[in-house]
Amino acid sequence: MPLLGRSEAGTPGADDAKVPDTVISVDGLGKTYGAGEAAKVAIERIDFDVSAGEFVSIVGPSGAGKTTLLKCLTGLLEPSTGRTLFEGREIEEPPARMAIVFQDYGRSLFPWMTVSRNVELPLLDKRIEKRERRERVREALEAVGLPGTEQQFPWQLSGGMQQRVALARALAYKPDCLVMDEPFASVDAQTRFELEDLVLELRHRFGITVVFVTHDIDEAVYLSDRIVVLTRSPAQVRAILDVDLSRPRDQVTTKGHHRFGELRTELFELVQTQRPPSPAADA
Amino acid sequence: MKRRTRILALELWLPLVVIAAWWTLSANSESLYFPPLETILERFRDTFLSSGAEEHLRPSLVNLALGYGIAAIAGVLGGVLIGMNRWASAALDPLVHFFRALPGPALLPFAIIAFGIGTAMKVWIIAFTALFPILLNAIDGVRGTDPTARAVARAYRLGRLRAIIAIVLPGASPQIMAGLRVGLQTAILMMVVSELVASTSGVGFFILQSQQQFEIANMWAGIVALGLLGCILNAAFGLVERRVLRWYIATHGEVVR
Repeated sequence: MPLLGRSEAGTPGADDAKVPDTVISVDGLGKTYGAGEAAKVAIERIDFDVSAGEFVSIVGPSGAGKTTLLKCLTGLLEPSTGRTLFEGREIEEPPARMAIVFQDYGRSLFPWMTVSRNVELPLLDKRIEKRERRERVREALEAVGLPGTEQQFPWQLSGGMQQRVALARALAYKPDCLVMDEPFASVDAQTRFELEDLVLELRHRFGITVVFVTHDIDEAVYLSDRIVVLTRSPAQVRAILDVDLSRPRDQVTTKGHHRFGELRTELFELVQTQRPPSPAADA
Repeated sequence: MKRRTRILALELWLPLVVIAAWWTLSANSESLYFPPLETILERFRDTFLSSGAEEHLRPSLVNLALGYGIAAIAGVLGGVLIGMNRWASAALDPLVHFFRALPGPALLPFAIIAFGIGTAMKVWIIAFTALFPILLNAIDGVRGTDPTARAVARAYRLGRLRAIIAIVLPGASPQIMAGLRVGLQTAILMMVVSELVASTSGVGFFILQSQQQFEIANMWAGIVALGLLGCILNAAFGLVERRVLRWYIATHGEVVR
């Protein structure tokens, strides 16, 4: 029995009846910063669900409020209206069975700790025996393709490898749901493709639900089962796109498929053709 | 290795020249104020490298260690408490800045009436004066904790104490170390000043007493002892700092000064 993940066969959630079919439920969520004259509405109203084992991307024009949405649905920020349910419960704090991978690995990994310590950190307060912790760290690092790096420091590794460490930290936490905030925005294209495939592989292997925020249209189509497209700020759901590409996917065949091109165009138009609302349009 | 030797040579040549010049120029000196360096070093050896160390050096070092130790612990703890609490910050900031700006020796008359002229007074004045640079830097460092680091701590549900020990303190350590360095200099200064004003022991007292008894060579020997002590403590601090901030030096190149 492997220590990581809940299912061995890669059938997400199938062997665990306790997990409800809907993992995340965003329900009338709105966020306004400040109050009175200076109030700025970041999110008007957003509703969508994420099912167990699903890979859902959130895409929108830059400044649309993607990060605000992510913070609200992870419990890092309190919404002004509405709520988010995680496995049937309203989120007030980041839930124990949710792991977050942040965009900036240079800040989310701690340079004063070894790789092993960084991965182990979230497990320290969880009443897990030292031996199991070590084993989880070792397995997680192996799963992300970094075996034997335990005693190195993050700054001794390349950017792509550091983001792998951040991913290992999330895996060792054994989440039902992985939330990623533009995780590959600051690595080069080649590394990015490798990391995309790694996320797909891990998600398949451990049956994790993934919510993935990105501004990259190709990435969203390549990875997702569904894509939530946001409007310009203040954000609302413009469309939810079903990605009917077969799995397993790979960088060459999937991206060469004509359906990939169609989805890509459709998504591009949904994201890029949004004009800022102008008074003339009302006349 | 070769480069390090060169740097060492570059650092050492001027002090060696100064010592050599002092030695030769003062060799046959009959001046009351500037006795021969040879005599000064003999007195230094007889006073501070023998049984005299126990009598003159030990009380000073004990006061310094106690005072600085208290200041370091209180400064870092206070820095965490104030730095993590916006209200405490706002309320205590002006007070901290006032005491930071107040020259320590100004408090000596008060310290003497409050604590007498014994160890307690000296430890108190050293601790109190060294506290503020440490506290101020620790507050700044803690307040500057990276928002992403905070988000990680919350996302992975770290306990409060764990977050402080594993994330907040190490993140603030470059600034804490900068504060501790300034605090150490302040502590050494107040150690000497407190012995010059009201004391019956210590290096400062030895210097003052030698001067009053026209034992000028002894006075110089005491000054040399203090200079060397300062150098040794600074070097020791540098070693600790390089070890504690290894990650910072590796990512930023140099330490905060």
